[in-house]
Amino acid sequence: MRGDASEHTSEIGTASGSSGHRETAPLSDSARLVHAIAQGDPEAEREFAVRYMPPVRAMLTARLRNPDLAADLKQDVMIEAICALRRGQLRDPEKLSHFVSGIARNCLSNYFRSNRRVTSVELPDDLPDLSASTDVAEHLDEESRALRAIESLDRTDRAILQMTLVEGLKPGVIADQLRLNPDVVRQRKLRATRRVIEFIRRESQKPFTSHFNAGRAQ
Amino acid sequence: MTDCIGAPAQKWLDRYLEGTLPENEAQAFESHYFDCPVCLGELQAVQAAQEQLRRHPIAIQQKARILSWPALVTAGSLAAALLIGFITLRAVHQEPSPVPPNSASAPSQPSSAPGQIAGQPARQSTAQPTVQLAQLADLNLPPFHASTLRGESSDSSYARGMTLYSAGNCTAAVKSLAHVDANSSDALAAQFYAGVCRMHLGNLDAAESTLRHVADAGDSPQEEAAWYYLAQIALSRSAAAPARQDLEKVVALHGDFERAASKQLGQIPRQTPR
Repeated sequence: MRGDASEHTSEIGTASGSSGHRETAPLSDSARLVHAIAQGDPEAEREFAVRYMPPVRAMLTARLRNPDLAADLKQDVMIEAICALRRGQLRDPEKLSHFVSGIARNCLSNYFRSNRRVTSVELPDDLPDLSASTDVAEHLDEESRALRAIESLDRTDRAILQMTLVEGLKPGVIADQLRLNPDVVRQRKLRATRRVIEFIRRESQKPFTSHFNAGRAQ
Repeated sequence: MTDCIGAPAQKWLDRYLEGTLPENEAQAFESHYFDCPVCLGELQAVQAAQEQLRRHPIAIQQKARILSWPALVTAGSLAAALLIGFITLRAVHQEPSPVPPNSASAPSQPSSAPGQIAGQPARQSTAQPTVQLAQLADLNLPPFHASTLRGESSDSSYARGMTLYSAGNCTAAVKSLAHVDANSSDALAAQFYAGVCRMHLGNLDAAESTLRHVADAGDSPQEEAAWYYLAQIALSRSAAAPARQDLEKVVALHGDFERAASKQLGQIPRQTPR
């Protein structure tokens, strides 16, 4: 995380600074990860995948509006990122997140241009098992929580969320269809969204930080 | 660890998911949540709900709308034609058999007692029940459910204030909530709870000012409750007109307080007894 990284001094990718001091300074998480992957450490690659698969998937799902396609493209992004890191293509390890999101954007652009998945790298044989990074039981739990969250909503609130998030309708259109004031629709949409978030946060019995930290070195 | 408390997600999430966020802002949000577990968690929660809404859609009944003009004209013409046809047929059938003199239809107008005007007795003869407006006021503290829902990242003053609030220690809660950063995502909630604490403590002027600020801020999870408690303050001052005005705003928002507000509206006399 950049907040962590800024607290430390990276030995990699910086050309200036006192070498005596740099030998004792600890590596940031990102620098350590980038360095280890470049050295061919499979555990670092697994850690990298655990750390970046959730935001990559969230980004692709938001951009593509198709969770299945997002899951497929996510694999492409992770493979491209790992291959690039193995080749040492990232010069500033503190920009690891920018680097990964940039690769995700490139994959998206390629997909939108050709309307099919385009991979620019040969699939290596020794990739970490990316599917193992996602715990199936946990995924089912997440789905169940999300379903209970929307079932806990008032029917009108649920209808508003459905019309917004699934059908992509604007509050004015929803207001017209449900015979409500557009301001009421906006208010209820906002409230329903917050309720869903709070419900899932509560039911997951952990703050939203823990799953993210799972892939980070302490 | 990140110090983020989810403000970027609150600012950008809706439009990001709708696809209406400008590209530069979308990329800024993405750069942020790649490194922020709180905002990523919120995004993932809404995406999970989105997926479940897609898989388990409910049938949305569009509310009946008044017929559009062309449909209204067509329906009207049809009804008129049917009526004319019916009257013509009836006239044709009735011609051969003369109507007995006493078979005229029963009077359709209800007979009124002499000097009695329909609709008025109930209003005039029964005195308006005198309602003590102040007794209607609900000055109890609203429950706070979110204290256990928040993760480590919540504003510490807010978390402390709400713990005190949940324990019923309004004085200490107000002091703690006053330290919540005005830019934090909990700022409005903090103001709201500080407002109801002041109301509970009897400091109605300060409570009104705080709650008015929350209500006037518009779209927020606290907006409806703020209008409701402003109405309660007005009621406790026996001020019917502002209470009614605020309660009508509550009802218009169709939220959790709608029923209570409607009930109170029914209890407030149009003209306050003097």
